[in-house]
Amino acid sequence: MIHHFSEIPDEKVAFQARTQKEAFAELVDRYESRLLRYITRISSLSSAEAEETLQEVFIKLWQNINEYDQEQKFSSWIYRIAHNETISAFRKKISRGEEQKLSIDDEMVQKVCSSISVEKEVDENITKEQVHSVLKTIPEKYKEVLVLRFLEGYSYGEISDILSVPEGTVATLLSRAKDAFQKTSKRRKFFNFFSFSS
Amino acid sequence: MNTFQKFSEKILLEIDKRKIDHVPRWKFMVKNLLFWSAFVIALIFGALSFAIIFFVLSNGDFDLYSHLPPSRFLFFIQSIPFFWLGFLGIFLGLSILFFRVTKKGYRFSLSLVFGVVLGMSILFGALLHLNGESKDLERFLSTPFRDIYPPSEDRRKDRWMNPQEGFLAGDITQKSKNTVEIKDFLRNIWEVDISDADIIPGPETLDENRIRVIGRVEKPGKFIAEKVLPWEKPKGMGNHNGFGMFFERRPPPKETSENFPYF
Repeated sequence: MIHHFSEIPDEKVAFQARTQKEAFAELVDRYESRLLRYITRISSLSSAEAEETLQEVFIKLWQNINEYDQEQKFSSWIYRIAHNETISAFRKKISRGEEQKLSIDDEMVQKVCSSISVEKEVDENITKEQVHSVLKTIPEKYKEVLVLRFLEGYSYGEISDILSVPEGTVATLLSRAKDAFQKTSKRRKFFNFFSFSS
Repeated sequence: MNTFQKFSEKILLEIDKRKIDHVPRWKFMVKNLLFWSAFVIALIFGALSFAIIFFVLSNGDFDLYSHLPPSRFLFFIQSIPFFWLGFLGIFLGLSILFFRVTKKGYRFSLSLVFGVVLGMSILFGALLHLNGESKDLERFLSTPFRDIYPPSEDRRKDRWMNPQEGFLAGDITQKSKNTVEIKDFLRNIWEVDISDADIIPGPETLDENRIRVIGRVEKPGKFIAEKVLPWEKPKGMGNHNGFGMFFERRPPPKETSENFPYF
């Protein structure tokens, strides 16, 4: 039996994955690279550790597929599993006394740069290295919302579903993340003034 | 076969190797149902706590605090039902916690959940109290904690077993125009002279089985009353007087030849 899932939305494929391994494999194929990138963005896990975490994410997906409610966006649901598994792996790593800082890739720096609308007083010679160094110093809890908002492109509602917090908390976290970014950059005198584009 | 497919195959192989199966749907439904049930139970206990707090406060002798020893501040402190406030705090916390772990509970802010849970507890607690259930509730729920926190009724009886300080209470055994005979909580019989007493809120107080009396001991077994009050505040929604139930309700002025021409 040949299955063609390419035109079928995730939510329906997830429903079929309850009974069909092919549908489950399709979900793995669709989310493998996105989730791997997400895991590495929000954690300091090595690529091998991130892949191991990703494997656990899909195993959790297989186990809990009956819990999935089709009213909810599938991507938010699987990102929540990935978030929880990554946090769990990250905490294990911390408990072993290993490196705690989150990694920041070039794409993140690029996206954050483009989301900052630089205005008149800004030093026009902002470098990626400067943004990178600011991002490295802001608290990790803020980085995750920045990743979900600016890199993964999720709405407040979707971020709320992924992080299991109210939408108001998402807005607060994002606002604080921006403030933290602003304060750090001011302290370092990279920018005299800037604001994030919405 | 590309590497993308290889990863999904690897996952499926791992699932087969570990013999992992789907968790049945009914388990998730039961889990959610348990959280909702725990939420409702915690909410009920919160409402019961509120009903008891209403009862303790409404029967806290606040209407006579100026007469009560040793100091007003100490009296207020002793009248606050800390134990039941703690009980309430625990169950409010638990109901918020259980609600937050239901399937969509995370979507609501903590302050909103707290406000709704508190409001529901106050509403149901007030309904129970106004329905006259709060006294029995306190007695029943106090039973396991009697040694560490006696019911407010017992502590109140201690307060009113002080005839030398001017506080007497007991059950009416006989009554006549100017005197009532009461049996106090130690089964002593007292003849109480009420000829010059304010009977609060009115003469119907003497129809009650149990009364409180403020006055002085004239001689052993004889008490001169200045004020006579019912032991319990009136039960039932119709008899309550809002927050007025905490304060003294003055009796109508006595009929004298000056204000009542037919006297």
